[in-house]
Amino acid sequence: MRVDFDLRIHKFTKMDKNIMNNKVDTMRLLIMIILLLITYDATAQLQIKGHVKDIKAGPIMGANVYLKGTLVGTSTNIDGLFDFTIDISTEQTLVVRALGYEQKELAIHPEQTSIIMVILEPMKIAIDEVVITGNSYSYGENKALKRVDALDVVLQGGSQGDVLNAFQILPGVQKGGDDGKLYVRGGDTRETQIFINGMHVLSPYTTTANNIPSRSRYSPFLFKGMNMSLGAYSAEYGQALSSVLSMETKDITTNKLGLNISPLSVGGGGTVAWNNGSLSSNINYTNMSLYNTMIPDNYDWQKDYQSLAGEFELKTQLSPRTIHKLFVSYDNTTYQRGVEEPFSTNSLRNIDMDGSNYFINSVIESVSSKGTKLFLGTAYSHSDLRYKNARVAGDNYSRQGDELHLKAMLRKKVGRGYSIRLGAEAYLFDNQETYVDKSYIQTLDNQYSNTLSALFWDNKFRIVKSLYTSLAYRLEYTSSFNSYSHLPKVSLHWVASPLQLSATIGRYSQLPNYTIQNVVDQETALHYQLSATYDKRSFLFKLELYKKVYDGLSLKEGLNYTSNGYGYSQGIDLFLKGKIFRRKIDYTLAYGYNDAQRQEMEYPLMATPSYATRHNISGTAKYFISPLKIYIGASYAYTSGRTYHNPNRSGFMNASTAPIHNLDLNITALISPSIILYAYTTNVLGKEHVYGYDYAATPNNVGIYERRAIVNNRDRFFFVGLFFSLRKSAAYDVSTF
Amino acid sequence: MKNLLLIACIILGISGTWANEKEKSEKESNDFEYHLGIAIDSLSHVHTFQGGVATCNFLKRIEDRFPNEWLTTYYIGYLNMKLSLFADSSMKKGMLDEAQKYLAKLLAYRQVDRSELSALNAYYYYVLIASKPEVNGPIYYRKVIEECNKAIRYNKQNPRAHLILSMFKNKMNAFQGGKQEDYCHTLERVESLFQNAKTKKYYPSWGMDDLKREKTQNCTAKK
Repeated sequence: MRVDFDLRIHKFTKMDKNIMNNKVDTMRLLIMIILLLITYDATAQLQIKGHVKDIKAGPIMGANVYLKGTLVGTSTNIDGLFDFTIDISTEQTLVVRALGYEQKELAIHPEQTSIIMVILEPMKIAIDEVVITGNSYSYGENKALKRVDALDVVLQGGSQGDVLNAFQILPGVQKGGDDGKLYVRGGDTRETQIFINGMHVLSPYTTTANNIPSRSRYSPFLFKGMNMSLGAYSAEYGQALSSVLSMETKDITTNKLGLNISPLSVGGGGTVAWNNGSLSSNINYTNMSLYNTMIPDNYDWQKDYQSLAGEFELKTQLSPRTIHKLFVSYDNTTYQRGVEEPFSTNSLRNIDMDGSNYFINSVIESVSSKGTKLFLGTAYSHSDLRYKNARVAGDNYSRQGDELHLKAMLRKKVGRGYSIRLGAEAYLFDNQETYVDKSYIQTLDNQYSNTLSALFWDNKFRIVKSLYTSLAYRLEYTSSFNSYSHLPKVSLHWVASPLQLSATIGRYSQLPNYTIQNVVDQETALHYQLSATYDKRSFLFKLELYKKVYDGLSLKEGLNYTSNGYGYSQGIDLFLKGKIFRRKIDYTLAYGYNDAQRQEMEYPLMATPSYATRHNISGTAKYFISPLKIYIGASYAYTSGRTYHNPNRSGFMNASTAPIHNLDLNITALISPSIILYAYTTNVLGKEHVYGYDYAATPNNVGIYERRAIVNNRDRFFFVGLFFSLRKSAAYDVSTF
Repeated sequence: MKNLLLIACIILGISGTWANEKEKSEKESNDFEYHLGIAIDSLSHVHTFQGGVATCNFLKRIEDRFPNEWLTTYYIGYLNMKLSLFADSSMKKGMLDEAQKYLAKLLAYRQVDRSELSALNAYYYYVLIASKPEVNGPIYYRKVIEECNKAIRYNKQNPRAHLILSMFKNKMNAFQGGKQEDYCHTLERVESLFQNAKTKKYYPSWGMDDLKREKTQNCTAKK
């Protein structure tokens, strides 16, 4: 009270003095009443002056300085100074906020007279804004590598417009030249799993004939972002011993309509959008007849390869914070090919293939007003492969696979330094395989069912400034083995942009190949990884050292398979990405060294698998010729020889093929805002790529096992296609999704 | 005694007036529209970067005080975008990040005008491209178009969505070496949308200055 009076405005102070001079008691009483009336709301006016600086004593302009919970305040001037007057009766809190700095709160007393000096510390990055770039490479809307999404994939030399091809430029990633599939850091192709919107895809590759590279079933234009993790990935993803490719479909888009045509395919689709959603569809028909007639290959096609593929996506904004995405894809592939296997009598036949594949993916993502994110997902995959004359003329082989994947996940950030992700998922898998020989006797009827349930928990927190850690744990239960797998993961990250250092140890598991019986548990791999990333503007450099220790691999011992196989894969990956020649050429350079050995399947001893090559070098360049509106992309890849087993020599996996050199080129011409021409050619140098050898089962009359090289059906592949956008709203946008 | 009573009456009178003023001031301090009005009015007088930052700061204080009002969040986001155009490189990124944060925050309001939100999203990508055309252009150009179209789907008459879309298409055409033939005519149509727009008090109404500038730069010769 006293203080309030002291600081009251002049008029009241003068009157108070007059009243205090009277000595009549009743007057005193009256005065007291009056004083109470006046002083009930009595406050003092206080001028607050101060200076806001950063830790280097530089002034901070535009800082917001105000009394907490009120509108009373001001902003600092160019010299970081502030000055304003407040009414104050008791202690209050002064808040100082500035863009890029941590907020500061100070107590202000009514007696405060001195100039306030405020020093603000730079803003610590919130935990969810920290992007750990070690181990992962991204396309699209991802902070790790801000790259053009689908177009970047298409324009990249050697991508052939295929999502999976685009990732072969990364160190440690090999695309099998014979099967077109991804092999990561000395691991088998099935160790790399693919997810769309967080849900597993059972059959991501197109079905092809032997030694014809397959492609991804999904167009890059479906996705807004793709993230390839080469190891030590989040506990959210399971059932992958080596790596995970996660792709996210686009959000609600706008109206689109497009067509494409090439000598081997025709297709089209579009999007219809409304206030709260959009519906997109795309259909493509591929037929190799014309192409094979114009440019014949080495195969005897009785019925040319053809496929019909359709994709459909419904996206609905259920509320401002909830989105539902339903994605459905279907494809059917058929061909009939005359084969005669060397070194085998009576092998002349027409392999007749008919394969279908469905994938349905439904996810709901919602964010509560408090920032808790809920994810619910269901995915169903079905693949059906039927071969006539598979091994010998007159036989039938079929395989049907079904997988239901269910997942629920919660994500929450607590404060600025902690975030948690926890969830549960289940995989229900069923596989049926039958073989009926030419005498109509069923010699194989393999039924395999399994349910895998998992709980996962992943939390990240900041230990001290720039130092973050992640502790994760995944628990899996497998019904067919009646066993639990405990999969912990620990990582430490030092993030001081543009440099990041990471160290990770994690354990991962995967079910053995469904065709293998009698194994007792899941296969596991322990990942050790050290990585350094330097990412500044358009320049990126990555160095990673890794080691994977495999255990519980399926191994044939005697007549049965056991879980006694083991192995390792270790190496170094280097990656460089940037711009040169006045920033006009985008380039990437990658080198991967790998040393892998394992004893699994029919291996009698530890050996390097044929798919694990020791040295892998790749380089890509992309150049835009502005006056002609043409993008030129080129990619070169060198792969050291693959190991193979030569029965004419002693030992196992005792020989190596010649190294492979490959140069691919592509051209994208922006003919008009609504027409794009896309062309590419593979293996420009025309080198023969030998991926291994098939040997005769028995030696010839001079005691030599004869052999035949495993090569592609054609040395080189050309593609020319035209893409039309039938809506004028977006130039050079050939996407129909 | 009489004097004393007189003094008492004066004091009581003063204190009564004071109390009334305080009540009025408290009423004002609880009146969201009153404060938003001050902030928005001040914008029409602000012609300096520093003044813009000060208004943005005032809006943030209003937001703290009235956390359920989407318009404050909207204007803070918009001001950050606008200010980023004039900010030096050290502040530009921070302001764009801040704008993005406020755009995300807007989603949490049930009563948010979805058309205005999409138009503001479009403007964000437009500004992002303007900040680094070579890098951000190929990444975000589709976003500008998509968000504009979305805004128009929600409200066919949204003048800001039409304006951003027209300006962006014109810039795209210029970049591709072409020319948008009917640009001036389009701007005329957008102007009539601005003139006929019936908005609620303090609803987003920005864009007219940009429109005038575009007309001056592109259509003066024709007139």
